[in-house]
Amino acid sequence: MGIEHHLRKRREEISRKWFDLLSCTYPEETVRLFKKESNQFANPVGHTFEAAIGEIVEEFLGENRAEALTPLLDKVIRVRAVQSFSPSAALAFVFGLKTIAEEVLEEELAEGEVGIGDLREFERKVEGLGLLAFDVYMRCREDLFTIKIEEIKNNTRRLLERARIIVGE
Amino acid sequence: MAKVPKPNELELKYEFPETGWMDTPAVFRPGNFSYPGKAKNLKVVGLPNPREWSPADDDWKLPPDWKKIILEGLRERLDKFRTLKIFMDICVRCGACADKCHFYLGSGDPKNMPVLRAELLRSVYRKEFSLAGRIMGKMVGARDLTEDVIKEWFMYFFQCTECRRCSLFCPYGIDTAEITIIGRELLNLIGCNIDWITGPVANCYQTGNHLGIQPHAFKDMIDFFVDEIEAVNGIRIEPSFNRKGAEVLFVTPSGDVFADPGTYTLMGYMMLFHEIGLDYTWSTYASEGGNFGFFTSHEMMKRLNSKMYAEAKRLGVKYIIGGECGHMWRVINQYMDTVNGPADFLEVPVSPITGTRFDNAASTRMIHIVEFTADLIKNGKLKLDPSRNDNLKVTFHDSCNTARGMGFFDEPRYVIQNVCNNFYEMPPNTIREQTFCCGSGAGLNNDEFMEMRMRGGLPRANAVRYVHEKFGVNTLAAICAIDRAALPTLMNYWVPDVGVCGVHELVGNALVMEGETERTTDLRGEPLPGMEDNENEDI
Amino acid sequence: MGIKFSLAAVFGLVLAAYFGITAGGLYHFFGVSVPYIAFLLFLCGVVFRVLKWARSPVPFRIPTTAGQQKSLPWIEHAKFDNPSTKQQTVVRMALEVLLFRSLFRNTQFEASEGHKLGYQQEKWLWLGSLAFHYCFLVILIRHLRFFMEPVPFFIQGLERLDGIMQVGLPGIYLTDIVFMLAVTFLIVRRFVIPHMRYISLPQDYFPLFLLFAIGATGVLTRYIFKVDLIKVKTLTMGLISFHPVVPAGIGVIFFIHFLLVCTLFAYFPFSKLMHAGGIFLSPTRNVPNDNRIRRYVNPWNYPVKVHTYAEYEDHFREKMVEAGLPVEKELEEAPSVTAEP
Ligand code: HEM
Ligand code: SF4
Ligand code: SF4
Repeated sequence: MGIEHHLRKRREEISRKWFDLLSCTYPEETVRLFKKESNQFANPVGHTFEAAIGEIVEEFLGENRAEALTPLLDKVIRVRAVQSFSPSAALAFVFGLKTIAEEVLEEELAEGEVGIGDLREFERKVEGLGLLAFDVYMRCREDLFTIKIEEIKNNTRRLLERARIIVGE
Repeated sequence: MAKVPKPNELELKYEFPETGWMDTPAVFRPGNFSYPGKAKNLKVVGLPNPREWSPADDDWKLPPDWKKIILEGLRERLDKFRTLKIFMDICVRCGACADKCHFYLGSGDPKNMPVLRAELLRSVYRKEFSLAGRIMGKMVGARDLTEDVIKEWFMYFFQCTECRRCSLFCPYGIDTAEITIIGRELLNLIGCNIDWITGPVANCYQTGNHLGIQPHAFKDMIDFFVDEIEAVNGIRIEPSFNRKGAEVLFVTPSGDVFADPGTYTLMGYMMLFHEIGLDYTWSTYASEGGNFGFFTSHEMMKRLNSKMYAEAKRLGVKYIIGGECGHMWRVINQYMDTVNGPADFLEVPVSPITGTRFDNAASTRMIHIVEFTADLIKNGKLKLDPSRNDNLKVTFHDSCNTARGMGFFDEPRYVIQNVCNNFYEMPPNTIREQTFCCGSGAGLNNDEFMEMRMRGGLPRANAVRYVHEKFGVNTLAAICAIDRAALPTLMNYWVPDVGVCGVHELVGNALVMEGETERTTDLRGEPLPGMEDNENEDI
Repeated sequence: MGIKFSLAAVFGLVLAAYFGITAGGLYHFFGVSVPYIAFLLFLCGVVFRVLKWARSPVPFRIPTTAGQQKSLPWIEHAKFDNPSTKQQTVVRMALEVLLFRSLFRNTQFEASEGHKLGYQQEKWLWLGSLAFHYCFLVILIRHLRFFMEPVPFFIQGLERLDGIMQVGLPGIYLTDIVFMLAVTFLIVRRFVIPHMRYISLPQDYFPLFLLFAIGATGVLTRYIFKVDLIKVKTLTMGLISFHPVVPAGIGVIFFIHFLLVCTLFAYFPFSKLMHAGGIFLSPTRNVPNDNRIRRYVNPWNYPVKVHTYAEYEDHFREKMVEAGLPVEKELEEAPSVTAEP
């Protein structure tokens, strides 16, 4: 419980760092847009990320329930799943939490308030989050394939229904 | 052997090229480009350089003198289009348009900033048509025309939906959509085009509509909806086809005839016309309102569009009514009369029911069905029961073309508000003239381009999600056939609880028709509000 | 690279004037030849450019519509955002040119919950460029006093208004301050905003540096070195009356300022600065959205190959007859050509 307690006190710092980490996977011009443009409609990606990251941190450092985290991770990953990232690059940000935790707790670690064991334990938790993120990613990609098929069907649904009038090429 | 990268190494993999955009070649990956046009379709309409090829290949099999073709094409267009000439010269790169493009907002790719999209062409223009560019080259943003440049054009001119949102914010009205249109024209000169455009173009030219549905099948489809409507309210409608002497020719995008959920909108049109007793006819020859020629070249747009007036003349109708469609209406509003007019064989449209003269269509003589319906409602000619739409909480998506190529905002809102009780607007910087594109316009609504479409549609979806969460909106209405095809997909991915419909589907639901039996379902066969219990006879 | 190049170019100009005058004594060249050449280039260049644009026809009427179209009489028409007549279009253009209406659109920020104002940077672009242009205009008009004798009352009035702050001697003009601030803003914007840096070319930096240098030397001329304005006026009056004289004793700083200004004029027609003229010709703004009301004629409209109804019917006649669709020619009349195309 020790480490979470310390981390919870630094929630905002963690969220900010995590958001920065996520942002710097985009070109520099775009990062600025993500960070500066505060109108949520003029900046859908940045805004979604910022809001979701805060919520994920809150839940992760709190109750850490899979069913609560899934929709939150979904908000971020759904975006990244359609951007030009490889699956690994799309999800790598999750593991960044480990480094961030270590950075944030530098003092506590040095003073022995938080032990290495605690940190290890936390890292395992992050790995769990990573696995969950993988599930979410896959679901988004599956959605993408399903909607493709759905759309193709919709485009000619009435024709298919009237199979007898299908015309030859 | 490469080591497995650690997560933090992966994170920073997106290295931003120090060399600037000119030296960053376009990379074709599945999901970010559309399949190339098939040779057989190019041949049908006589487009140059038909061949089998793929953008992912190194060799694009361009004709040997491709460079000459492009440069001559560019010169010719500079002499023909003042728009192009001025837009090539006066951009100050102030950046006002940069963050207005939905593709940039959703993808973060800097070349999706409208100003850079235009610079792709402008850089070549400088090199070939300006003294400074010829002498100083890169120093003044000029570069040689190479195959890589062609590839880049192909990538980014087919990543622009010609939505004109950028043009709205530019202090000089520089319209990147116009540059894209001309850029695509140039690419077409050397046979670089996409299947999702050339396929429908060939079909539309040859058979009359995008899907290539032949006349008897077209009639059969409409007859099918006659049965569907009868099942909903017991009214049997008798449509007519290619009928000479009808008062009105009705033309709608063929998507409404074949693709869900456009079909329900089509049923709405038919019910409305039946109820007011409009003397109208369908045409199997002009059975396509949409015009993918517009995404090919100005010439192709004219060739496909010609059918509307030709058919109206042959049938001897008085005027034309057009269905709900976006780019179809941009063509009708801004091009049709100019390219295929004058329509002196038609009359200025007068609503036979209300007597209203549509002076705003005095020359083109074609009116939008939503204008027509709005006028009917305003004059109290329709009996409407909006409570039949009470299970819907509706918001309205302004389609780019009717928004920024026409200014068609209040008519659809007026109609919706008269046929629905629950209407909510999305935030002001995402609607009306500032509306965000669905991300699939201008011939990009193909499934191989899905990822890019989902990115491009994110700004729109994000605004829908907002009203969905805030007001419980569950229905997105639109007056565009491409929207009706593309938005359901977009919603499925981003806001799964929101459905998509056309405005006349809502009208069809609310319209109280003379002699109808009591309705228990809406046009989709879903139980009407309050009828959920007697849902046993499924249709 | 672009920045350095542009900066070097401006420095080069300053040095050229400095050494040209101090070491070379090229008074006549910098005082008479350069301004005449520059003015000629400006005049011919602008005329040439505008004619070149005007030579390309406007085939289609494609205004960007920014408000409700003219429609049924009971629907309120956004006259100036989506004009349907010439008069309304003139108002739209006036709003664009005088108030930068399109740029202003950016600034419609709303205070969304829990967030600061949106659209900050864009609002500044509108304000900054508006300030810049108006100051530029006022400064230009003020300069007319060098070319007119007697100085017209409106210029004197403008000077008095502009110098209202009454600080220092000679009095500081408000527009000088705002002009320098606005130009600095426009420069800094291009430096610090990553996407601006990414899209900026040397020809974007060069005019800004040039303007900055013009402003700076102008200020130096007026407030620090206090060049003898009577002599300057002798020079300028000589220039416009085509009896050029270069009075002795004008400080070198004036010649630097003068060369930079001449460069701006000479450069103007060959650069993006022509946006000033371009906006008036921009076909997405300067025409009404009235295509459905009045037919617009494309001067080069040409006939195209179409698929006629007759060809269509020939192709599908059998199927059409079978489906009960009316045809122009019955089956027996027409030769059967139902082969695939
Ligand atoms: C009529 C409407 C006009 C509009 C909307 C307009 C807009 C702009 C904008 C937005 C900029 C800023 C570019 C930047 O960020 O660097 C600019 C720059 C400039 N404009 Fe205009 N302008 C107009 C007319 C004029 C006129 C009449 C002149 C006359 C001389 C002029 C001269 C300049 C100059 C010298 C610059 C600075 C150079 C630069 O930024 O590269 N403009 N204009
Ligand atoms: S807003 Fe217009 S002038 Fe400014 S960068 Fe974009 S296209 Fe160029
Ligand atoms: S027209 Fe639309 S898609 Fe194309 S560059 Fe402009 S904003 Fe982007």
